[in-house]
Amino acid sequence: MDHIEFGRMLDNYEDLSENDKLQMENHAEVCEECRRELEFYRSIMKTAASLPVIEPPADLLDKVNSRIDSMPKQNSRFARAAEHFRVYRVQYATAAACLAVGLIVGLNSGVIRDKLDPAATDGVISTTTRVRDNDERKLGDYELTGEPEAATEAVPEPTERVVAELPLQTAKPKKDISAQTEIPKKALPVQTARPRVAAKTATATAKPARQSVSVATPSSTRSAVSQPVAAKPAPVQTETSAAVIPETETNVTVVTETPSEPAENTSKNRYTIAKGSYYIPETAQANAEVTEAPTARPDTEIEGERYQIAMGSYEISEEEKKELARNKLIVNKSDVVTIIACMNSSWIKAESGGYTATQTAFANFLAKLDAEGVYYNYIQLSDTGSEVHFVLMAN
Amino acid sequence: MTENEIITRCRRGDREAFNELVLKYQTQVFNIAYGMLSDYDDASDAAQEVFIKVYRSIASFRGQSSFTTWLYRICANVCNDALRKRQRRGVNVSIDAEEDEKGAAAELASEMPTPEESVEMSERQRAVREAIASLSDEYREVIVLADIRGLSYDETADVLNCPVGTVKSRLNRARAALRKKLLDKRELF
Repeated sequence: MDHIEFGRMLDNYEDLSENDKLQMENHAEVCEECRRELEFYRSIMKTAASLPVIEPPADLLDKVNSRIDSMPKQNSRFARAAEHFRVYRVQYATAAACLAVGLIVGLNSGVIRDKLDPAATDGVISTTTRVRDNDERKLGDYELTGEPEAATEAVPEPTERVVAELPLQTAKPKKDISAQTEIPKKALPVQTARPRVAAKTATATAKPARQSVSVATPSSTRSAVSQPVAAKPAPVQTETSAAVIPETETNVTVVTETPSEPAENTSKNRYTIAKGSYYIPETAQANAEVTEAPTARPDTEIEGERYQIAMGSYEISEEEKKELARNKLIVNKSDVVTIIACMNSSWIKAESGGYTATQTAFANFLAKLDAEGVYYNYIQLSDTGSEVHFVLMAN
Repeated sequence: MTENEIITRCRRGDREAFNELVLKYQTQVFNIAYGMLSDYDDASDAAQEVFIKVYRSIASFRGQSSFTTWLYRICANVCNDALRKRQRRGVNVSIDAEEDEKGAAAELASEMPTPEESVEMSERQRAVREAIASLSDEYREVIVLADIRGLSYDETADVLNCPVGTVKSRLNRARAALRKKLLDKRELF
């Protein structure tokens, strides 16, 4: 045994067999240099094991209790998610914008557009409105501002109907909005846009204190994605439902019907958006007030916030699902290690571009994330069957 | 009250039992955090965070691993989060006096003795503490758990959620690195 071999064995000293250690001892007896190295190593390990204990702050328990007392009551995963979205709403808005821009680029490049039957889209127009109010209000408290004005020539005059909770209800007799609804407590700016894609259902992630309502308007023409059109839907008829809106998430379906459209087309023009799902920046709201159709989409408009084509409940074709239908589990980057650990123990296998788990394993996985105190957001596809597919997205 | 009784009561939301749990484990948790973060205040914040997480999730603790393993795992995760945040902020924390003189962490120095400075440590102990603090996060973590806290390979692997073989090899590299860090102070040993 030479110094090099001795040093190599010293690097693995704790894992050596007794026989190897004995060989080192024998060598150390005759080699002063190696003996010093061995004693040096042992002394380090002995010192590390005997480092003095440092007392924690005397008020550690008080601080912990104080923080617990100040914690909001989080009774459910949804409540935590809502709080999380309140904190990270800007990041999610940005992520949503990127998602939508990517989708639109894909559409424009024909990747997905070709899979959609233009004849079946009916030129759906999406109108997004924002409610500046708290979550406790029922849908019926909200009112659409925007005087019923004539739409552009390309847009048939829609009849708008607002229904709380799914499933979609049948149309009510027309009523003048100004006569039917109470005086609004807060104004509701209205945005009108035409998506290129014939989105049937869109779900946005939940954010407290804000509510978005999407209005689908059948149109005989199709125009550039999200191009605001001239006027608000007119005359708008609003039916408010007295149904109780769930505490943490509310599905709001708004359907605008064109009288000339066949009744069976109505179901295609359905958008579902979680209550308080996202917000529209001030600049975009200002755009919503335009009364003339712009020739181009304003630069300030954020596409993603207009459409919010979330993977969750956007009803898309089977072909589209192959492209888009991966659910997205949105998590904090700092929690990825913990999440991966939970995944490994939940029998979730990685697949190309995502992960697959059984419904049970996935439920257990989410339970573990809860146990670890990991914040996440997840909107599940409605028809995932016995397995859950999802993509891990780290902020 | 046994540990199992305390945990059972904690799972029912018994704050008194939770306080007992904190008092029982705060020193261990704090010292792991201090070993990994090398800063008293950061370790204090991390220890708080650990117990907050414990409070929030103990209802789902099913005893598949020992409570201390679960607790240390949370502690390791919290400390790693803190280290990443520190890295993003560009904060350089060191208990090495020479580095402080260079100004890297001078702003963290205080004229008043810090709680850890008030602890009597031999020169040798201080040298080892400083050398451990200067290791990479990965090495420091495994040294703190295995060599300072005295966890076995299996326990360390459980806490770090990695194979035992990984722990062994990482620990050997970490010890070798520690030895090299202390070469210039070998006269103390």
